[in-house]
Formats: sequence, structure tokens, C-alpha cells
Amino acid sequence: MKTLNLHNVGIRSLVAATAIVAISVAVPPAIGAEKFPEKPIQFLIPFDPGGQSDTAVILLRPGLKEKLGVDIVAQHRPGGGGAVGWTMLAQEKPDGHMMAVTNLPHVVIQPLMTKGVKYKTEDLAPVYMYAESPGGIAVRKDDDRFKTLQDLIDFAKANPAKLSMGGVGKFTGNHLGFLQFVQMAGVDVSYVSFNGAAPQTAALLGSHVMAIYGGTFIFADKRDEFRVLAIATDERLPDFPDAPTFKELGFDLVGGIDRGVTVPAGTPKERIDMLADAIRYAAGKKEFIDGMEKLGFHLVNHGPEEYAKIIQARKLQYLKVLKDGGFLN
Amino acid sequence: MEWLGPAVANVFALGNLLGLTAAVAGGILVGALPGLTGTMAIALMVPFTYPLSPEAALIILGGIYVGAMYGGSISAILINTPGAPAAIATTFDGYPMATQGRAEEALCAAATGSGVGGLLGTVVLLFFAPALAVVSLKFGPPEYFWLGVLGLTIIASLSARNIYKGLLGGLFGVLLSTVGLSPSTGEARLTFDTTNLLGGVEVIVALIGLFCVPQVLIMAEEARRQEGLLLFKPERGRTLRTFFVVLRCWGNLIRSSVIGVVVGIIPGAGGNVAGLLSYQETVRAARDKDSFGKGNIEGVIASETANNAAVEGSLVPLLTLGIPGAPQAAVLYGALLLHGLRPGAELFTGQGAVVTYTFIFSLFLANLIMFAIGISASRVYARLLNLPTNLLMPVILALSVVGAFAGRNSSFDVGMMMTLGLVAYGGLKVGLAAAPIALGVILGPIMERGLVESMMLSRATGGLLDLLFTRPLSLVLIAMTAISLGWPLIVKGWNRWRGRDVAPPAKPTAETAPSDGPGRVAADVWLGVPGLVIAVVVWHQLADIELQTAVVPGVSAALISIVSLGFLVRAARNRLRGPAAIARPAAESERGHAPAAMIVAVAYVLLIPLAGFFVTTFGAMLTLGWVLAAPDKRRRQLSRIVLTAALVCAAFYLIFGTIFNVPFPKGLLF
Repeated sequence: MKTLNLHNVGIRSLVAATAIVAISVAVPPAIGAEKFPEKPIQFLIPFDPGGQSDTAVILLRPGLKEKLGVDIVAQHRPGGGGAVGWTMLAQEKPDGHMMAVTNLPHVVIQPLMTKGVKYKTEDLAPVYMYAESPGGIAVRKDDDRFKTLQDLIDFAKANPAKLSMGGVGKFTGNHLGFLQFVQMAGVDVSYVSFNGAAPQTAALLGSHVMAIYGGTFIFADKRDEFRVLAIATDERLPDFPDAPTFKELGFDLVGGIDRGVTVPAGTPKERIDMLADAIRYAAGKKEFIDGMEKLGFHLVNHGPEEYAKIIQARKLQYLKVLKDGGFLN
Repeated sequence: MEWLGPAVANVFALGNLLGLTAAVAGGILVGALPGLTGTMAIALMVPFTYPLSPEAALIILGGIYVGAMYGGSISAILINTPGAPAAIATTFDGYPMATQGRAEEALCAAATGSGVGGLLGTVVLLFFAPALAVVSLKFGPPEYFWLGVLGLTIIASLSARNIYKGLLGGLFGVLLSTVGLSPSTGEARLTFDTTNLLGGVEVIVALIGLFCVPQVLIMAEEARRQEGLLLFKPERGRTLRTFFVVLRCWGNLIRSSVIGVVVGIIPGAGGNVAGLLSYQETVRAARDKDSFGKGNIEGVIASETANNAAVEGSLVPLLTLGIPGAPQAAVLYGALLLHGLRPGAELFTGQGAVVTYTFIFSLFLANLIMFAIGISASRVYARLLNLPTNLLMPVILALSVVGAFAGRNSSFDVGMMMTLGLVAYGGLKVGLAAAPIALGVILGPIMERGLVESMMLSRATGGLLDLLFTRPLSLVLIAMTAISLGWPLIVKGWNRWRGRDVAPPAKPTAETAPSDGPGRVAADVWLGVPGLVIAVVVWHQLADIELQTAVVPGVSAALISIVSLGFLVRAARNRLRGPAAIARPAAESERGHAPAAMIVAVAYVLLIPLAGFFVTTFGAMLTLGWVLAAPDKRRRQLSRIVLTAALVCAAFYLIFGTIFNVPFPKGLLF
């Protein structure tokens, strides 16, 4: 019985201690007065270890630690295409000690389109945008029917719904790019949503679909097998000198996945700026640039204000696509 | 061939050899611990291998992959819990062997099978990779659908005499797998509008809940009966004898290796499907089918040989096409790219070839090291069975918590694990085994993705039925499914035609508990009512959802309601026919300490968010150690219980916290 008694006493003191902690949390000291950062910074990754966001954090961490002088603790909270992690960030104390890898269009689309998502885009305060993964259309190199984008459009016009195009997920960067393309070209193409870039690539390699709308990073890998018909960037990419942009072909289509870092809304501006400076430093290091370019990322450097503007502009763009497509009222 | 010399030299460089050995050993440990998977370990090691040369990095990551795949068998055999999803079929015969005092044999068989499968797989990878890469591209959406269906038919052979219960379990598993965002439409279903459920039910969390928790509670039931009973008695020369027994099953070894490699090559299938399919084929090829599931060594060999052959299989499309065949290979893909290596032709010519062949040669060595460690340590692992239940059982419980938490840093997952565990324990009491549910969880997503992608694709090709039923490879898979379902009937018909005696039906085993007698009516009611409730709740949740999001959960719920109604009708008929047969509460001796253990386990999980992992674990270990000990020995054991609890907490901190850098659930207080 001795142990059980001890256990009871333990619980009683636990309860008492909880009350104390609860009170001290409820009455926080004024934020901003003290030193920042005062403890390790949590870097939330709303995806699995080993994925693209994880890799970016691995490469950013050494520079961040150097600049901020505290440990950067990577924390994975995958689930719901990132929604679980961003919801957690939105509920976090806005003191700058937690930041998260953040992707567009995800954080714009999820609150609009996914039932059960509890955060809003505005709950995440932009800190820094470090990379873009532009989208584009590719077909098999040995498919003589489609030498140019126009061939593809002609085929789709002559055979409504008969052209199959693979993408990753629905209302994702791929799918929104696809929707803009079919809306602008005025064609009916059948979209097949795969569960990731690997199955999408395999589906085109195996001729299960006729074309794919995907990230340019997968095209870089498949130079010998795929023909890139168009890319959604402002200018041609050095990696694909022969691939025209949609703009050149008369479609005002630019976009893909925008990758950045956010903190909970309400974080003091000076802390956001400190974090942004640290990321700018870490993202300027050779290891980061080399590693990211090997993975096919297109690197950019946008501070808090620019990043906020990009989010706003993208939001309007996506809303229009969704409304024109009849997915939103 | 100019790569041959440098590649061989690389593999045998001292640093690489040491790194490989450590990686294999670490992989075995990770694989053996339920909840820590090879995928996770490889991903966590990627940053540490980044500064190394590409050869060294790949050698280490490949070593972990190989070791972890075998490691999963250790917990499957000793505590009936697959340490990783791929070891699920190993539990079917491995654990029964352990309960018969044949744990060492089972462990040797697993090590030998894994070694042979891995070595044959590496030979295939070395010589036939480019030729076989084509196979991986033949699988389109319809083929994935049929592959999932084929896998699910294993339920029929797993639960031969209990087909409806197996079906109910499998459907429930498929339903569990559909919680959260649909992978194809991005639409949420069965989430009850909560964010936590948006992430769905992690496979590993489900496996720990379904296998570990009931196992722990069964240990509590049996604690008193097994007082002082030694489950494992070491015997000289048994390891060597077993090794030759396994080699004599060469047909099984080769068949399972082939199945493993082929399934491994199919992107997205991997070791878990390989182990299950090869188990299925081995049962079908065997003469004494009834001995499977009761400790047939061939079952262990089939599962373990195939899942390790699948390791190398999954590398075939990765290295040749840049398409990973399994989640572990997907993480390796990231590592390859980080080192500036682009899969494809580049990896097989020039400087790239040195790296690639160093990697492939290191896999030979990794499999040999794994085999050596496995064979020599089997006896040590088996001794774990002789630990007193009151000390071992709380450790397994704590491992379950760490494992459930580690995947996504989520306390919600810990609660999910415990909930599923209690459901699975209840299921066991009415004859519903955990394995069919787990099969549903693992194979459901493969089937669903295949079906929904086919639905989308059929808009372009014209006609879903055409797409599903006319492609050649699909037809092969359909034929295999039909054979798998119809085989027992074919055998019976053949025997009758030849005038042979049909074997008398075997007696129900313990697993299929109350299939007759007064308990049966109650069991049918206990299966039927929750089944109907689940079906109604699911339909309610699926209202106003797109067809492609709702089709698989909807159809599963419909089938569940039909099977459940069947149980209820049978219960009503038996009730009318026979004397009033009402559930009698299990006798005190049968339940043993299970109710107390259940209360402690639930309290444990509930208190973690308050007091943190270590304090709560220490408390749970003391309580369980005390409760499960024989009443007259409690006082004498007290110091031992306290000491073990302290040591285990320290070991958790060191192994998980320091070596693997796995997070622990934090409480408000600690």
C-alpha cells in the first residue's frame, strides 16, 4: 500500500503545482521588454522528415543558429497536407520562439476549401520567403503528337475531356496552375490527381496519363524522358533553355509553390525583423544555395513586407481561379 | 567496369565498414522498437550524413534500411507486435512459436530468411536493375486498385473459419485508413470537423494500438498463471539446427525472395505488402495449411525473406528512374539529390557508377552483418521472454507511448493508440482478431488511391469498367485474386473428385474464441451493434461530400452494415432457438489483472499531458509492477520494482533522447 499512498500524494501536489503554473501562464510578463531570443527556437515543419520542407530546414539551421545564438529545434507535425502544423502555429504564443515552414497556395486554400481547418491565412505572419517551385507542363519525349503546347491545346479542343493530365492533389499548386491553364486556353482536360510527385512522374513514364502539370524540379530529373512544353515563370529558367514560358505563348500564367517562413500573428515587429535577418543570412550561405539548387529549387529572397505582398497577390489570383472554376461562390 | 576496383575498395575502407556495422546494428534496434521505423531513422540520419562523402552517406543509410527491416521481426516474434509495418505477417506464426517455447527458432528463421532474401535481392539489383525498372512503370491506377484488393483477400486465408469476423475487421481497418484528407481529392472526411483528425490515423499508431495494447492486457491476464514459468529454455546447438532447417526450405526462400523483389519494385507497395503476399503464397503452396497461424516456421521465413528482398527491390526504380519503391527509398532519394546525384543513367556511368556500385556492394555486406548479428543474438533476445511480467509489461506500454508519439510529435496520436488498443482488446474477446484490421489500414490506401485515380482517368479513357477490367496486368491481378479467394474450394472439389477424404474441420483455436456455446449470441450482438452504429455515423459524416471522396468509406460502411446485420440476425435466431444464452461475465481467473492494468494504462496516457513522460512512466511502472506481482511477494519485490522503473526511465532517456534524438511527450509540469 505504501506505493499507492505515495502515488496519491504525488497527484495532490501535481494538482497544486498545475494551479500555480496555470496562474503564471495566465498573467504573462510584458513581451518585448526582455532579451530575444531567450531560449531555443522551435522550427515547425508541417510535413514528414525527409521531405522538401524538412531538407530546407536542415540546410537553414546552421546559419540560423550562428546568427541567433540559440539552438534551432526542428519539430515535425505532419498531417492534413500541413493543416495540422499550421493550426498549431496559429495557436502558439506570438513571442517569436516558434516559426514554421509555410507553403503557398496551401495556407491560402486550406482555410477556404477544407472542412475542419481551424486557422486563417491571417493567423500566420510572414517572415521570409526563400524559394519558389514553379510549375509547368511536360509530356513524354517520344510522344510525337505533342511537340508544342499548341499541339496539346489543339488535341484537347478536338477531343474534349480525352486528354488526361496528371497532377498532385486537388486545390494544390499543381491543380491551381492546371485550372488557370484550362481556363485561359478554353479547353476541357481530364485532371488525374496523384499522391505525390513520385507517383505522378511514374504515371507519365508509364504512359498512364498523356501529360503532367508538375513542379519543374521533377522535370530536371527527367531531361531525357520528358519534353517540357511550358513553364509558369516570368523568364525562361537556366535549367530549361529550350522550354518556353506560358507568357511567351500568350498565357498570363506565373506561379507554383511559394516557400517561406511564418510566425503566429501578433509577434512584435522587431522580432520578426530579427528572424528575417537571420534567415536572410542563413539563406545566403553557400551550403544552403548549393543544396537547394541541387534539389531543383528556384531561390528568392523576400523580407516580411515583400512576402506579405506576395501572399496578398496570390490570394486574389487563387480566389479568381476558384470562382471562375465554379468551386467558390 | 572501371568502377569495380574503387567500389570494392570503398566498401572495405575501415571507416565505411565501421559505419555500416553501426548502421545495421542501430537499424535493428530501431526496427525492433515498436513505433520507431526505418523510414524515420533514415530521415533523422540524413542531416548527419550530409557532411560525409556520398558513398559513406549511402552506406550508412542503406545499412539502417536493411537492419530496420529485419529488426521488425524481433518484436513481432517476442511480443506479437510488428516493430515496423513490414513485419506484420511475421507475427502470424512467429508469436505462436514464441509461446510454444520456440522463440529462438523463430528468431533464427527470421535472421536467416532476411539474410537470404536480402542477398538474393542484391544480386537482382546488381545485375537486372535496368531491365526490371520497366516493371515498375506497368503499374497504373487500375493495377494499384487490384493490388490492394488482392492483398485484402489474405484476410480470407487468415480467418478461414471466421470469415465474416475477418471481413468486418478488414472493413473497419479500411474505414480507419480513410479518416482525414482524401489523398486524391484533398477533401476532408470522417474528421468530425476537428483539426487533429485531418491528419488521419498513422499506420504505425494504428499498429501499436492494435497489437501492443491488447498484448499488454493479455500479459496482465496471464500474469498470475505464468508466475515462475519460463517461456524460453536455452538449448545447445539449436541455432545451428534451425539454420539448416531454414535452408532446407529453399523453395520457400526462393519464392519469397522473388515475390519480395517484384513487390518492392512496384512504387508505393514496399515490404509490408511483400511480406503479406508471400505469406499468402506460402500458405497456398503448403500441404498442411491448418498448421499456419499456429507456429509454422515457414510462415516466419516467408514474411521475413520477402520484406528484406523488397528492400533491394525498392531500390531498383529509385536508382534507375528516380522513382522510390517504398517510403524508405523516398527518403534515400532526398539524400541522393542532396549529394548532387541524379538517379538514372548518370548513376550507372562515370563517377556516379562508383557511388552506385559502392552502395550496391555495401548492401551485400549489410545483409551479412545483419545475418551475423541476428543469428548470434537470437538467444539473447529470446531471454526477454523470461523477464517477469510485472516488469516487462509496463516497459512495453511505455514503448508504445513513445512510439505513438514519435511519428508526429502528437499527444493526440497517443490517445488514438490507446483508444484503438482498447477496441482491439474488446474485439479479441468477441473473436475479432487485430490482423485483419491492420491489413485494412495498410492496404486500404493503396486500393482507394487506385480506385479514385482510375475514376478520374476514366473520364479521359471512357468508362471505368473498361479501365478496370481490360488491361492485361489488371487481368492477371484479378485472376490471382479469384484464385486466392477460390483456392480452398478448388482444392476441396479436386479432392472430392479424386475420391479422397475431405479433412475434418479443425477445432476452433483460442484465437477464434467463442464461436459456439452460450457466449456466441452475446459475441454476435457485440459485433453487430457497434458495426451498425459505426456505419450510421460514417454515412452521416459523408453527407454532402463529393463521390470520389466518399466512395471507399461509403462502400466500406455499407458492407459493414450488411455483415453487422448478419450477426444480429444470427444472434436473434440462436436466441429464439436455444435456451436464453446471455453473456456470462468472464470468470475472475480469466480476466486476471487486466481490468486493473487497463485502468492504469488509461490513467497513464491521460496524465502524460500533465506530468510529462518520465514522471508518469515512472509512476505507471511502479503501479503496474506492484499490482501485477504476486500478492505475497510484493513487499519483497518492491526495491526491485523501483530500481527497474528508474533504470528503464534512464534507458529511455539515453537511447531515445540522446542517441536517436526522439522527442518525448512533455507535460505542463515537467
